[in-house]
Amino acid sequence: MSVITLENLTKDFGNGRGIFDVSIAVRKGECYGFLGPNGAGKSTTMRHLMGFYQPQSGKAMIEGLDCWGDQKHIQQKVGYLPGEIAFPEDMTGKSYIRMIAKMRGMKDFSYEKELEDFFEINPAIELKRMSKGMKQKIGIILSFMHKPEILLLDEPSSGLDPLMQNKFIDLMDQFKKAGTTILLSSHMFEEVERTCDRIGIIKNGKMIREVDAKELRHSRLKTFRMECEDETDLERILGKFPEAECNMTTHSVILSLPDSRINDLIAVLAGCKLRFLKEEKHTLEEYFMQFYGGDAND
Amino acid sequence: MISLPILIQDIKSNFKFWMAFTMVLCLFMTVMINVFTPATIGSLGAATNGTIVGNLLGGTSTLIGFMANSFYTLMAIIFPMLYSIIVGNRLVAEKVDHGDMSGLLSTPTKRITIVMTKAIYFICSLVLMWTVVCLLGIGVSHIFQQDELDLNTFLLMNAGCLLFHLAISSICYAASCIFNYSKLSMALGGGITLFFYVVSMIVKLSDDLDVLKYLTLNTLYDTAKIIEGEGYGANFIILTCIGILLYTVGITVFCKKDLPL
Repeated sequence: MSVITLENLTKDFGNGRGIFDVSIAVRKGECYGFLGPNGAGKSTTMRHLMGFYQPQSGKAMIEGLDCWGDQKHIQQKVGYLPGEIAFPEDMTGKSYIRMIAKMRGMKDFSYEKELEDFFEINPAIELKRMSKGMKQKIGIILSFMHKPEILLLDEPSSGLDPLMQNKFIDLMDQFKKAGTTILLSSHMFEEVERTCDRIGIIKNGKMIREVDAKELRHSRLKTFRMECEDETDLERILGKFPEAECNMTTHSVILSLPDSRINDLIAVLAGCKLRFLKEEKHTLEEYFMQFYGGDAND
Repeated sequence: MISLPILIQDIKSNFKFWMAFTMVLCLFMTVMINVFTPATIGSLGAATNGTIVGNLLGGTSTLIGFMANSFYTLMAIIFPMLYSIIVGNRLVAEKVDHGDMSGLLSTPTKRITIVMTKAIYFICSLVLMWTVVCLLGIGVSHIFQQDELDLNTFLLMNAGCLLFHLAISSICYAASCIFNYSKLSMALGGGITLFFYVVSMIVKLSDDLDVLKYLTLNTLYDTAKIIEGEGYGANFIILTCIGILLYTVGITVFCKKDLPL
């Protein structure tokens, strides 16, 4: 049985904004990634799952309970990290954590303390004095401290430095091992690719495709940019990879290839004199253009 | 139906407003009671007779009559009104607009529990404000104006004022629950109540403008009738009904609306 279920969920805000006919089913213990550009409808979907929005048509359910109306029961098991974190300005982080814990009926604070140490944060200062990253950490503590069975994370690593992003991914792995069901939304391909088992791609409020993360990981092309000292080297690369884009004046080469051909590239480059070699990061759009051709735009 | 952590946080977070407005009221109460001497009022009445100021003051020679036309038409109306406008907005709309309402709603607490708790805080804070002001008034007149105060009328005057402010607070609270934007809640809650106040002032300027009294809630707090000792009962009941109705509307709307959190 699926833990998180959306059935033909629709909410039309007019002017083409909103979500339309979104259906997903997340199994117990699965980590589902919700991937899409800004304004695609990720947060709107999350808000339905939190019971903040009433579906126009369709259904949002968690463990078989309707998200609009059965909040009290659902929230006991859910940890939610909002996309735009906002805290009361006139409290310290500590007193806010205590207050939310009290509202959850939590008595044991040992795990909460553990999380504070894990993220190296001292919450005993005023929330309004905190930086974006610190607020994000407080938000993460608030959504994880009661060890929820289900996690709804809306762009969880925004505002965190790379070190903390890695720590956060470790934390998610711990929860995954413990059997937690996770729904994570992001506009960053890497974040979703690293943590999720299944990925749903949403654009303009519509689900475009659902893919297995493994499939995506191995079949996609990686793009490298390099610059050679000599023209002869350019020709050697072109000889082996005719699809490469070369610029004869700057001696630069842009080359996209699947993981299976990476060793061929290394073999050719071994005989070349390179100025530099780097992998080009793709935008979400580009990834899906190459993965599905023109499909990403429908 | 009540969440203790939310109640405590609301008390803490709005305490400075409650304290400030209560102290201002206490200060004016003390000053106005002190100022009163039947002789000065008599001469003031003669000097302003027939003028606009005379209409505003109304002219009366008892302590309660003097208070009714000064404190209870000006300070006792405007200051708690400002408290209601500010705090009413802070309790709900500002939390939705700013986004920190989502923290409360991600705990296993129903929406109705949250808004009921906040409504109860709002009502109790006004009751407490008037209890403090009323007790202080009794104390101060006992010291400075011995045997001048008609205690029964004074208590009724304060009870009426409290009911009036509960009705005002219900307007602000309903606006706060209905709108997701702080500025809209302020515009409606503050706009309507301040409009009432301004109209009630204009009505006093001339008898020709008497018809305007139907445009303002302040008409229902009729100090003259309270002093006469009759005819105020219906007004009190209407004020109470408005309060109950608008608090209910606010709570119901909040429980059913979409929250952009």
